Amino acid sequence: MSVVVIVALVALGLVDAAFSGLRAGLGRTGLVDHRHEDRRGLRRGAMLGVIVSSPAVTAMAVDLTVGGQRVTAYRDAGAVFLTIVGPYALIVLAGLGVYGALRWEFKYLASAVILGPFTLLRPFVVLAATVVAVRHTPAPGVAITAILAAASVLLVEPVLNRRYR
Amino acid sequence: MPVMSAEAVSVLEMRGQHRAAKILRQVPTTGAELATDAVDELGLKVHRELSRLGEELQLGRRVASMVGALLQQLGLGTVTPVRLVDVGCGLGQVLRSIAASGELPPYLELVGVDMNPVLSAEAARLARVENLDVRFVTGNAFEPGLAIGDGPRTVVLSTGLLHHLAADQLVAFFQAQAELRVAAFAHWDIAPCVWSTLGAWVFHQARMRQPVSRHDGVLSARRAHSADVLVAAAEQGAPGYVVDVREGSRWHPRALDVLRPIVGVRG
Ligand SMILES: C[S@@+](CC[C@H](N)C(=O)[O-])C[C@H]1O[C@@H](n2cnc3c(N)ncnc32)[C@H](O)[C@@H]1O
Repeated sequence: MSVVVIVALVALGLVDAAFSGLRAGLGRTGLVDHRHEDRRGLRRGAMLGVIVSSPAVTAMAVDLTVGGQRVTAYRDAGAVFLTIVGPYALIVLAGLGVYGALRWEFKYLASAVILGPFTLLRPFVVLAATVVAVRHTPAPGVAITAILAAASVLLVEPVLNRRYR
Repeated sequence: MPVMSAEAVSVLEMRGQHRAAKILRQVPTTGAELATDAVDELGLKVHRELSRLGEELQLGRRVASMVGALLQQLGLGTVTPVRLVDVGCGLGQVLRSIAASGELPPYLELVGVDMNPVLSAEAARLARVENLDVRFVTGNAFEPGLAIGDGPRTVVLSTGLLHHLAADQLVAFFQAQAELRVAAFAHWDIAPCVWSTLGAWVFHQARMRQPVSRHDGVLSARRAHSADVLVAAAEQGAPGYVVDVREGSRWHPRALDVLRPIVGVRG
């Protein structure tokens, strides 16, 4: 159970960071064929995601070893976080599926109805999930880790945008 | 043309465009003037994001499929080249993506025109980088000989241009094309309705980074001309043409058309 929650969180975090990198790289060159830039954006996002999440990972490691915190405390908070972020992620994935399946004339509808609005909602969903997880957990170490992790998730795109400037 | 920063800001404030004024205050200045390099660089950034938006809306394919049908209807033959001219082409994404996809027949020459030399030069550079057969020129598209030489063998198009013209400039816009006796024109623009305003807001907020473009996106939808206004202007300016706006019925949201074209064919 703990493994499932942790794997789900790490996978979601990585995918989200990669997509943040993709978004940060869109519309930077004006080229018709930008597959190269897109792949680069995905890579940079994922790499930056790993880097900026190191404070959260460190905090958790310290808490679990030196602080003697139990893994179950992290699992419980993670599960609460996932109850909010999970459905969001599923809808976005479904949106991507719809985007892929639609005829070209209608593809933009998937962006207008699902992908675009959900890009706008994203920071609020992360914030809401963090607040709920923090309020839910009795352990301060878990709360700190959750806040650091949420901050790192929200940081990837603005940091990359700044570098492009 | 040097623009006095403080003056421009106060004009915007006077018009009640406080958000625009705030954005303009953040553009770097050299002394009292807006720094030309900064304005050019901002223009390029905005148009790169705009190109990307056009790509998401599949503008190139929409234009290609309509122009393909027009070419058949016009029956201009395939021996002498036919020219497709994009007026106000910006970075030329529409023509460059058509050239890259090979969706239109090779006897069609692709020519993009923009008055802004920074944009047309960048469009030409991008075409060179990707080895695409599109020509870009700078100036007023309707200056005879610049982009339109043989009117009857020319199809004129634009995307996202009409809402930059005031209602009283529309007649002259269509008249210029009629005087050059172009075979047909097709101008795509956003339809003024709740759906397109909402759609423009979502797309610009979610996909554009520059505050200017986010601000302008929704204004564009508000400035857009209704089909009736466009048809009336085209019929007055280009009386020899059969004109219609290709959009859905009132019963399905106009947003389904994204940008819809006003099409005119010389009768
Ligand atoms: C908002 S841009 C549209 C850019 C591009 N078509 C797109 O969809 O991304 C309008 C452009 O039209 C140009 N323009 C307007 N009237 C023109 C004319 N008569 N001849 C050439 N360019 C014109 C302006 O310089 C401006 O760059």
